[in-house]
Amino acid sequence: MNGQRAAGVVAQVALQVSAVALAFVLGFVLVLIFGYDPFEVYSVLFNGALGGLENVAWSLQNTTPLIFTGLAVALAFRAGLFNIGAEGQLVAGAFAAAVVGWAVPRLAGQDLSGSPFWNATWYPVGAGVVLATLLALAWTAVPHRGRPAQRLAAVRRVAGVVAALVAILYLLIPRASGLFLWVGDVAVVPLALVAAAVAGALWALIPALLRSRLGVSEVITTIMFNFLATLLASYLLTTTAFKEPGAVPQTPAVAPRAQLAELARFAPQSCHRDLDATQLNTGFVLALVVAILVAYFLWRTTLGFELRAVGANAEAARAQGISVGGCVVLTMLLSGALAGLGGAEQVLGVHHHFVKDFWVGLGFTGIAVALVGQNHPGGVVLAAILFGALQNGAVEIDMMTLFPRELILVLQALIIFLVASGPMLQEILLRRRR
Amino acid sequence: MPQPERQGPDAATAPPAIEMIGISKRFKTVVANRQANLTVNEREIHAVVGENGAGKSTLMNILYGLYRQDEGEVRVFGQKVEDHGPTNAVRLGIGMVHQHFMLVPPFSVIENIILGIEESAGPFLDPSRIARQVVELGDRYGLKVDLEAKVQTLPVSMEQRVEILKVLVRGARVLILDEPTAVLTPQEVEEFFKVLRTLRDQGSTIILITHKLKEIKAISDRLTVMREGTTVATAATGDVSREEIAQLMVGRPVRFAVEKKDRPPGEVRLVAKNVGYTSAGRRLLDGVDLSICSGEILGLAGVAGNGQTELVQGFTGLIQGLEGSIELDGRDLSGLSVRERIELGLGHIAEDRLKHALVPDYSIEDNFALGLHHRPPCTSLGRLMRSAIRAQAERLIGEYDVRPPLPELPARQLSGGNQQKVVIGRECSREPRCLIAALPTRGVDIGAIEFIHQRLVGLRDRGVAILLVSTELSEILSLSDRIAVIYRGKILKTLHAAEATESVLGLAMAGVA
Ligand SMILES: Nc1ncnc2c1ncn2[C@@H]1O[C@H](COP(=O)(O)OP(=O)(O)OP(=O)(O)O)[C@@H](O)[C@H]1O
Ligand SMILES: [Mg+2]
Repeated sequence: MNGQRAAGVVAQVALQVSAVALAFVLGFVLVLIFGYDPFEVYSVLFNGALGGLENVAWSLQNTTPLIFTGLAVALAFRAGLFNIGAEGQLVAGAFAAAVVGWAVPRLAGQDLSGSPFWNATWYPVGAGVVLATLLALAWTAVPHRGRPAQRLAAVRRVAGVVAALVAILYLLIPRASGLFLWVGDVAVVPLALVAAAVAGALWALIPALLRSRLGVSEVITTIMFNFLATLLASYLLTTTAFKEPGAVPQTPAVAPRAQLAELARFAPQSCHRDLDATQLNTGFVLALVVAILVAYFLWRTTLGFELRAVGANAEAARAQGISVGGCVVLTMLLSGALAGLGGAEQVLGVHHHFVKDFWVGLGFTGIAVALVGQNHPGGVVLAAILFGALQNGAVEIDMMTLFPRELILVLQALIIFLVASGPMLQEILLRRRR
Repeated sequence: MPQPERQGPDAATAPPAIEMIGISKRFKTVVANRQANLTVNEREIHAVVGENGAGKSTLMNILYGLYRQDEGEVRVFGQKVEDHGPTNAVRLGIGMVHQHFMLVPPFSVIENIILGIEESAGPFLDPSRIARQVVELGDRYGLKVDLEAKVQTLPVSMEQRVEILKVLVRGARVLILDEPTAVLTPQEVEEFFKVLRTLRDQGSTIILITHKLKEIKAISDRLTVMREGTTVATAATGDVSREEIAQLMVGRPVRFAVEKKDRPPGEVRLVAKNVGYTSAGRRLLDGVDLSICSGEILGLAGVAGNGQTELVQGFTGLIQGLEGSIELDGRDLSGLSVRERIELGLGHIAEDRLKHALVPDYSIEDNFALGLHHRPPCTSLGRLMRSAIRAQAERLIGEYDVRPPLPELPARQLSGGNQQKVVIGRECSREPRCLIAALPTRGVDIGAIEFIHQRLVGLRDRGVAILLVSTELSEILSLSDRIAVIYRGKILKTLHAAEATESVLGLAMAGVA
C-alpha cells in the first residue's frame, strides 16, 4: 500500500514536471516566432537561474518569500479557502518586523523621551490604552449566563490580559532600560518574527470573521485588505514617525542584531566571494523548516485533520462535530501568520528596511506557487524554487540579451496555465497510451 | 455516430438493445469488472443484481460512457460504440440515474432539470415550456416535486425524483437506474413500478439495479447476477426463486428474517418533548413527543419528507434552536454542539452518507476515526496517532467486512454498500448510549442487510436505545419494538410492534390515523 501511495506521488510529480517541460517547449517555439535565438535565450536563462553558486544563491533568495506566501495560500486552500490576501498579510508582517527590529534595540537601554513613540504626544495615547484595558478587564468580571456568553467572556478575558500586558510593557519600556538590554540583543529576532506572524494573522482576522460568521466571501475581503495594507503602508512611509529621513521611502534600518544572518557567514571561505553579493539568509532555512512544520500540522495533528476535513466536505465535517467556523478562522490566522513571516524575512534578511513596494507580486506569485505545488508543502517549496529561478534568469536575460524580459513573464504564465490544466494534460497523455 | 432506426417490434431480427461483451475494468489495484457480459433485449426490464462491490455500478458507468473499459465491447442496438462519453450516450438514447445523485445543490429543481437538456432547443431554452413538460411528466408518473425548491433543501427521496425526472425529460430510450428504489417508500415503489411498466410498454428498455429481491421478482423480466466483477448468470426472472437469486449473489444461503428475542426495555434514554421546528415559514415539526428506552428499537415510519430529516438533525445538533426539549439520560441537549452530543454517546447513521457521514476524499481509516478523532486513542496531545487509527481501521474493516480491505483507500472509491459499512462500523463500534439510525440499510446488499440488522439488534440487546428511521416498512416491522408514525411533522400514532401490521402502518403513513 505504501508502495502504491509512493507511486501516486511519483505520478503527480511526473505530471507537474511534464507540464513544466511542455511550457518550456512552447516557450521555445514562442522565442523562435519572435525572431530570437531560442538556444541563446535558454542558455542565458538557465545560466542566469542556476549557473554557478552566486546565481543559485540569487535564485534561492527570490525563492524564500515565495515559499512563505505559497504555504499561506496552500494552507488556506486545504481548508477550502482562497486567501488572495497573502500580499497584504505579508506587508503587515513586514511592517511589524521593521518596527520591532528598529525600535526594540533602540529602546533597550535608552532614554526614549525624545523618540517618536514615546514623546509627549504619544505617551498619553499609551496611557489611554492602559486605561481602556483595565476597563475591559473590569467588564469581563461581570457575570454572564449561558454557554455562548461564557465563551465570549473567556475570549474577552484573554484579550484583556494580553492588552494589559502590552500596555504595561509600553509604560515600562522607557524606564526599565536595563531590563530590556537582553530583549534588544538576543531576543530581538524571535520577537520580530513573532510580531510579524501576529501582524499577518491579525490582518487576516477580519476577513476570517466575516467569512465564518456572515459567510462573506474571503476572496473579495482579502483583496480589499491587500489594498488597505499596501496603501496604508505607503502612506505611513510619508509620515515622520515611520519614514527615515532621506529620499527613499523606507523605515529606518533595523538594528544589526535584528537582521537575519546571511548564509555566507556559515559557508566555507572559498564561497564567500560568490555569496557575499546576495542577501540569501537564514530566512531560507526558516522557510524550509516552516514548510516541514506545515506538512506536519496538516497530516499529523488533530487540528490539521479537521482543517482538511472542512476543506474536503464541510457538511460532513460539521455533522461529525467539527466546528467549521472555528476551522475557518484558525486557518486564515495561520495563513496570515505564514505570509507575515515572509514579510519579516524580506525586511530582516534582505532589505533591512521596510521599503516601499518591495512586496509587489509576492502574494500573487504565491497563489501560482501553491497551484503549481498542488497545495502540498513539498510541492510549494519546489514550485517556489522554480519561480525564484525563473525570476533570476529573467534578470540575466534582461542584462545579457536583447530579448524582452516580458516574454519571461509569458513563459511563467504558460507554466501556470499548463499546470492548472493538469487534468486536461493527464487526459491527453492517457489517450495517447490507449 | 449514426443512430440505427428502429421500426416496429420485430423481435426476431432486431438486435438486443444493449450488448456488453467481455468487459474488464481495473482501478489501480482493484479489479471492478472482469470479463463481464450483459445482454439486454429491447422492451424489457432487466435487473442487475449482486453484492456490494460486485461491479454493477462500474459496468453501468461504462455503458453510460463515464468510464472507459480496459477490455471488451459495448453495442447499442447492434452498433458498436466507439469513443464513448456521456453526451454521446444521451444521443444514443441512454439515460442514467446514478446511485449517488449528480445534482447542483444551490440550483432549483427546474434549473437542475434544464441543465441536463443541452441541444433540444438551441441556445435559447424555454424554461416555462420545460416546466410544463416536467409537471406533465410528474403528474403522469406520480413524481411530484416543487419545481422552485432549491435542491439543497430537499430530502434524498425528493432528489431521487428530480434525477428520475431529469432522465425522463431527456426522452431516453434505454434507462439505467442505479438503485432508484433505495429511498422510496413501498407505496412510492409501487407507483414507480407502474411508471416503469408504462415506459416499457411504450417501447423503452430499462436496466434496473436493486438489492431488493422482492422488487426484482415484482418488476423485472430477466435478470443478470454479478459476483466479484463478473456476470455469473442470466435468467428469466420467473425461472428462479428468491433463495436461488440470493445464493447466486452471495455464494451462500441467506436468512431473510432477523432473530430477535423479546427483552424488557430498560430506563428511558432519549426523550423529546413537544419538539417543533419551522423553517422558511413551513412548519416541519409540530409537537413531537417521543421517548426511547435502553434496549429498545423505536421505529419511525413515515413517507419520506414528513419531518424525519429535521427530527434526526434536531437530535444530532445539526439543526439548533428547536422548540421544546430533547434530553439524553436526563440531560438537556439544547445548546449543545454536535461534538458535545457525540461525546455524550449520541451516535448517528446519516441518511445521506456522502453528504453527512463520510468525507469522501478521506481514507477509510480516517473516516473510521472521524467524529471521535480528537480523543484518545486517535489523538494524543493534539497529535494524530496514526498507528492507533490504522489499528482501529484494520479491526473494523475485518469486523464489518469492508471490501477492498485497504485502510488507505479513499472512501470515494468504495462501492455504495461498502461506504455504508464504514459508517455503520464507526457508529456501532463506539458503543453509543443512543443511536439514531436513518436509512441504515440504504443501498446495501442482502448479505449486508442481514449483517447490519444483526448489529442493530445486538446493540439493542446490549442496552443501546435506537431510533430507526426507515421508509421501508418491512425493516421497521422486523426490527422495532415500538413504532411511531410521523406524518406532516406530527407523530400520528405510537404502537407496539405486536399491534402493527403493514396495513395499519400504511394507513397511518398516509395520514389516516
Ligand atoms: N473510482 C474508483 N476507483 C477505485 N476503485 C473503484 C472506483 N469505483 C469503484 N471501485 C471499486 O470497484 C469495485 C466495484 O465497485 P462498484 O461501485 O461497481 O460496485 P457495486 O456493485 O455498484 O456495489 P454497490 O451495490 O455497493 O453499489 C469496488 O471494489 C470498488 O471499491
Ligand atoms: Mg453501486
